[in-house]
Amino acid sequence: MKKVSPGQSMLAPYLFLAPNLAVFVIFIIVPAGYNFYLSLFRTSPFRLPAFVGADNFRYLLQQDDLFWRAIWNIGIFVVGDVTLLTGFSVLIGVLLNQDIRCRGFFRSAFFYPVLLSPVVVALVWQWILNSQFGALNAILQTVGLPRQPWLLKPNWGMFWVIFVHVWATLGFFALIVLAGLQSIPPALYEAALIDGAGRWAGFRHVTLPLLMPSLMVVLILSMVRSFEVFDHVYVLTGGGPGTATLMIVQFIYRAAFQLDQAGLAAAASLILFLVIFSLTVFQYLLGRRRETI
Amino acid sequence: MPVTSGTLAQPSAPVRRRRRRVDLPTVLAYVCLVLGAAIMFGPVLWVVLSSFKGLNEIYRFPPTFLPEQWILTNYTGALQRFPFLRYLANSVTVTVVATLLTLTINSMAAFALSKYVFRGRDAIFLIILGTLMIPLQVIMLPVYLVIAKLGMANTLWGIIIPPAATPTGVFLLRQYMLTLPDELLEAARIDGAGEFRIYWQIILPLTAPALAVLTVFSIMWRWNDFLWPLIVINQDRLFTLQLGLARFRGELVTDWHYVLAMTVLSIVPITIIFGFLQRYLVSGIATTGLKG
Repeated sequence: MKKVSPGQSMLAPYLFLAPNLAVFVIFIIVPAGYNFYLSLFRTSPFRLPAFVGADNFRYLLQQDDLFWRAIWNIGIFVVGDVTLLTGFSVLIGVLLNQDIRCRGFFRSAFFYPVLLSPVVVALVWQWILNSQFGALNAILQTVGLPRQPWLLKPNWGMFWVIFVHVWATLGFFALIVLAGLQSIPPALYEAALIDGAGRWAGFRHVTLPLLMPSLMVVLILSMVRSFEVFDHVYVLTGGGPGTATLMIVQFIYRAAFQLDQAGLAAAASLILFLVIFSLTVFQYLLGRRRETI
Repeated sequence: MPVTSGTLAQPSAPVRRRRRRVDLPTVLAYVCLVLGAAIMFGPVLWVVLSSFKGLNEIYRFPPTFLPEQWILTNYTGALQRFPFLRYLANSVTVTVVATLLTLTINSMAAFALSKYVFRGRDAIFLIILGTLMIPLQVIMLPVYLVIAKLGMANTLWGIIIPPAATPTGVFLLRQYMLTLPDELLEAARIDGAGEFRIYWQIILPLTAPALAVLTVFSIMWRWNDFLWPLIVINQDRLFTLQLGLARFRGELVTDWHYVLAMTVLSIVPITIIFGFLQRYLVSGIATTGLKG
């Protein structure tokens, strides 16, 4: 603990903190408490809110098919998204770390989609996947494969939602991996080379273990972010076809702002919070050295 | 590891481990990179090219790659039919005001947390970090209810204020300020400088590299934000660019030529800005894992 320096005003730090703290309290901490309170009430457009205890949770978990649909969808989405992101970010990180020509160009190309807004990303891919005029169908037809109404079939819809989200966020995770790779001292590779290790052995026994901290960051961050997914999916498919790509945040959005089911929305939010909370605690327990946010 | 300076942005070239030579793994690496770059960059390029094509060319199958004739009517038509400039003005207002607000209040909080000793400091810091676990997606309904109570529903302030006190920003700036020597403050106090003047004239200028990182991220968060404006705003004239784009698409199921032109127009500003500032973004992600 630092000593209080002479002449330091006792009031000053509180004044400096006040604006930020006020926004925090009014727009995060109070709403978080309010959310808990709401989750214990049943609301409907026609009646006054009534205290129902854990009924909202019971209803969601035992009777609400749509909630389970959203859970199922987000489960598939998270598994697909995190697997692809982790795998490809390592691949691209390793490739970009090689002694190659045009490194700057390739790094920018892989990073560029990260800059785009989710709305733009979704619109770009709607145009590519357009069943009548889309570029993808044109390519398929040239090689003799049938055209598909990609976003109108449930399984393809889920595939493309995952693909597009990976496309949009891969550059971000590849950069984390790349930074991790660049912190590995080259001397270690030289030592491995002297010991007769080939490229693969070098990767397996030098790179991978030293990359583990970065990989954990990629894993947990990508998991948290895919649980929170909304924008990309909402604009790309609107949760459809039917409810095939309806994710948990859209379920909450729908209950809160389209169906006037505040209690159910709050209860579902709390469940999502528990998931994110456990992931974050897990991340903390892993005792990372990097101070990652 | 705190962000120490903007120079981290350009990772040093790896030590050349061996002479450049052409073998199978190298060829494979280039094939992967070129293919990958095409997949990452191609779709946007395709949209840009499409946006310059005439109606009959856009809706032709199979499509042409380069426009047979480069035309601008998609752009002029879209600008006439939609209040693009109004949406642009709203987006710029939100982005600029929100970024200034974020920088101001986050840096003030970071200054207090890094350069003062006071009761409750560590608890406050922990609470601020703890709010990382409560993303807006989890509390959107109650935050909206608070906004509505305060009369900020359907106002740009309603979009701007709630996400302004970012825990990420406070953390990033605090870590940076911790590396500045305390003697600076003591010397300034001896010279009779007030607390605010120390913050404004001594600490803030020295924090410039970290402020630059936060600025770039704030611009990107705000420019690209969709869910929160979608909740707060339901009047057409207050739409941000992202809301406007999503709305066009919903209304113009078949008028793709306008949607394409609008999409390209909305990408231009962010592409130009980040052409210049990419290194701050890269260093922000690489050194702190800041969310992109």
